[in-house]
Amino acid sequence: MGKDCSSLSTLLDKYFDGETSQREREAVEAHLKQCPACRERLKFMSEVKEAFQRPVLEALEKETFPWLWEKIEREIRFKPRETLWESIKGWFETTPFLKKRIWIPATVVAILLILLISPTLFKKNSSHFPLPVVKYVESKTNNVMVYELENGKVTVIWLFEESEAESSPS
Amino acid sequence: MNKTILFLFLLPIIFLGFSSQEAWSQIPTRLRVIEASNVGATIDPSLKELHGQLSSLFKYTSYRLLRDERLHLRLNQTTVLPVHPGRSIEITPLKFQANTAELRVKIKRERTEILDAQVRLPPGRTVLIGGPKHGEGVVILAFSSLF
Repeated sequence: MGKDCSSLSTLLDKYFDGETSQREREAVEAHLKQCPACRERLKFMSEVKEAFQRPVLEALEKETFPWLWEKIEREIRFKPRETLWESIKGWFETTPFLKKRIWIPATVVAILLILLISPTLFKKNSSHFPLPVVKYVESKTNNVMVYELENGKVTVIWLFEESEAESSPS
Repeated sequence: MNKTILFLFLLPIIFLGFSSQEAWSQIPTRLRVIEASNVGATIDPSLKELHGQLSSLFKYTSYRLLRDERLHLRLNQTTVLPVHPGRSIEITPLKFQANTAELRVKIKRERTEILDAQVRLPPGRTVLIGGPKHGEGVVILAFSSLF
């Protein structure tokens, strides 16, 4: 490799990659005509490139990427819009909340909460000081008496009609 | 998985259903009209359940069931029942809260109001309204909650 060759080395690389300007290309080609060493070097570079490129290209040819992409494209283009029910169903299929490790503890917690809250919601006025059964009682014509059994399950409102003294409660 | 989804959907619905029961405003109540007297010593077999309470409260020897009504009272709607000749009872549920019904009860003789009462009826409770004369004895109205 002569003095010209070493100065053209960088240009030769650019020439090989197709990145030279018109003037640079002419200079490289003029040099290549008279320099067998540089021609040999260019040939070697081509062979190396081909050696790397060939298996990749062969592998790519064997793959069905274009066909696959077409298929995806077709699916995207023609896929009908999901109905609301399908969206909900899809959500249930993908949501992490329905995974056993989440929904089982969640259900247990919900049931416990219901059990804890329900006595206050459904309690039957079982406080120590229950509200009086008779809120008010009035009679403009007769006397009235209110009393209740000791067990607290029966309350009596007694209306005293004329000459009821005899038949009044014991 | 489907059963789980169904369960998760139904759980709050059932819960809401129970909690809003009071808002549905139908109040199942039982009203028994009893004639109590000292004529004879007959205890109506259908009053077996109440007899213990009646005998501990009153000194009558005979109890006869005149009427047994299962009422489905509606909030703020007045139900009028003739209880015995010349008398009627008006029942108006005013409230149904915390599983307790609040009832306004009026007893009328002809057109005169002889009793006006407001009572709370919790579950398992019976309210007796007695005194109006009937034949040889008196009439006792027994209100019981059926909720």
